[in-house]
Amino acid sequence: MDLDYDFMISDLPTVLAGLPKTLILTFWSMLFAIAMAVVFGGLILSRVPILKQSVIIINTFIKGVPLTVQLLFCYYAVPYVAKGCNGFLGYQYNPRHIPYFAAAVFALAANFGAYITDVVVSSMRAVDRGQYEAADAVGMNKFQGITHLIIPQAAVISIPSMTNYFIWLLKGTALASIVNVVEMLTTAKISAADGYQYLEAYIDAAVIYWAVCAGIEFMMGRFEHHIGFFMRQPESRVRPISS
Amino acid sequence: MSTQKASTNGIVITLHDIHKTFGEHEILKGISLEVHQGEVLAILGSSGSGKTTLLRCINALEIPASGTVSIDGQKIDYSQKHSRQDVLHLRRKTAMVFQSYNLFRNKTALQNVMEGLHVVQKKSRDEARQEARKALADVGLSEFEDRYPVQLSGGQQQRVSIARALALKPSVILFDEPTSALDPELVSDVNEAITAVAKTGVTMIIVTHEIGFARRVASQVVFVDQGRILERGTPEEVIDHPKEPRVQAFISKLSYK
Ligand SMILES: Nc1ncnc2c1ncn2[C@@H]1O[C@H](COP(=O)(O)OP(=O)(O)OP(=O)(O)O)[C@@H](O)[C@H]1O
Ligand SMILES: [Mg+2]
Repeated sequence: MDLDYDFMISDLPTVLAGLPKTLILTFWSMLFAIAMAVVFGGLILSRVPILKQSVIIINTFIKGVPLTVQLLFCYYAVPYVAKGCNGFLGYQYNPRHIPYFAAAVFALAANFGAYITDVVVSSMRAVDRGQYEAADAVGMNKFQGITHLIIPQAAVISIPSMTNYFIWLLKGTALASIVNVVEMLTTAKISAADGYQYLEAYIDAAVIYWAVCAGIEFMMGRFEHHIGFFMRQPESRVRPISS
Repeated sequence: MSTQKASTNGIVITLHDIHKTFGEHEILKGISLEVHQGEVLAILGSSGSGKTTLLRCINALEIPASGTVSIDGQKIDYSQKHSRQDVLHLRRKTAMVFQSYNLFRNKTALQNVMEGLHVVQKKSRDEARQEARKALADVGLSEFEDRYPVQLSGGQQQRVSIARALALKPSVILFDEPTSALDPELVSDVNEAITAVAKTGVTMIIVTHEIGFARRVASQVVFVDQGRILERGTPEEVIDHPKEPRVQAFISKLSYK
């Protein structure tokens, strides 16, 4: 098998030009996923009857359906939804500009939001019970305790899982290529079409995905180390056994 | 309305016939006691007798099944309906020092002390900081004000937690075995800090297994056994000359360890 190394190198900038679109898609999807997870997680944690059960059922459903199916569903549903939204908040429906990007964000956000809900719930529950009691004992009400003490600690606890989902989501955006969103993988595919050099273009894309993910993981690791040191377990001071 | 002003006559805390059950088990079987202004009450008793539960019923971390708690004019009768606000008002008359310190992990020592003053008592940041610095100085930790709990030893954390309680200027400070999680060499620092606080005339209730410390710091001692107060009196009476055989056995076992 002969790889066209020259093309591989010359095509790298072209593929790289698709990266911002991938990052933007990741960013918006993550933002909405977290927003959904915070609302859903809040409903689960505060045990609002009916709503709590509804949230759990919705999330189980979302998790039980492949992401590809959700993307395709949104892809085919979005023209109808867009038409229905015509005139709403000044939106003008235009059959030549179906909002596929928004549809992809919706599908990705819903899918990851369901998983990140679990991160929110488990991070809040992972905060030591003693912290809740200390908040009570100084006379704080629930809201004060949660906003000043519990959420800041839960946020730090959640950083590693959030990072994992962020990276997973970033890679997941490649699936958006099947629903007409020109992100990095699609850019690679288009650039390869002329000379049928798909393998080379996909290797380029793979290298960039890997570099970006490794970079994010490293940066988030440093970030957590820096900002979250107060949550670390103190080194256990084992007393030497005197003989 | 179960909250009402009552005249106090030097009595800061009154517990009347407190009952508490966990599931099937009745843990507190009718506890009544009174604590006067400036008094230090030590609660002794064997493990599992209900000391922690009793302490937590005072500041409503546990809600009693029945009985009344009244602290400095705030009163709740638990046999009647009471609101979350009633509980909050009662609790704000108290402060607590936990066995495992429970400092706010995301706050520095100074912020730990400031937090209640600023967030709960609505004092300005500057005022809260000033009072917090004074409280930290009282426990000898001024130079550690910017450290986070993970950066402090157990003894230092517990002293910060004493400062946090002290700064709130509560009607009573509740201590639950404040030194039992500490390395032995750190115990005396914390006990000294508590003794210093006691000398300033703050009313305190201390659950402890340290008979010697209780003997020195307490003005009144109660011995809890199986959810009831078995014996009460001055330290001389209860610790030096206990009448009940169970109390005698308990004291002699601990004193000769
Ligand atoms: N939240 C709870 N749920 C169920 N049972 C509890 C709970 N808290 C305490 N108990 C039970 O109540 C009894 C009294 O507990 P408590 O912690 O008050 O004892 P204690 O006198 O403080 O003991 P120690 O000296 O070991 O701290 C124990 O039998 C304990 O198992
Ligand atoms: Mg206890």
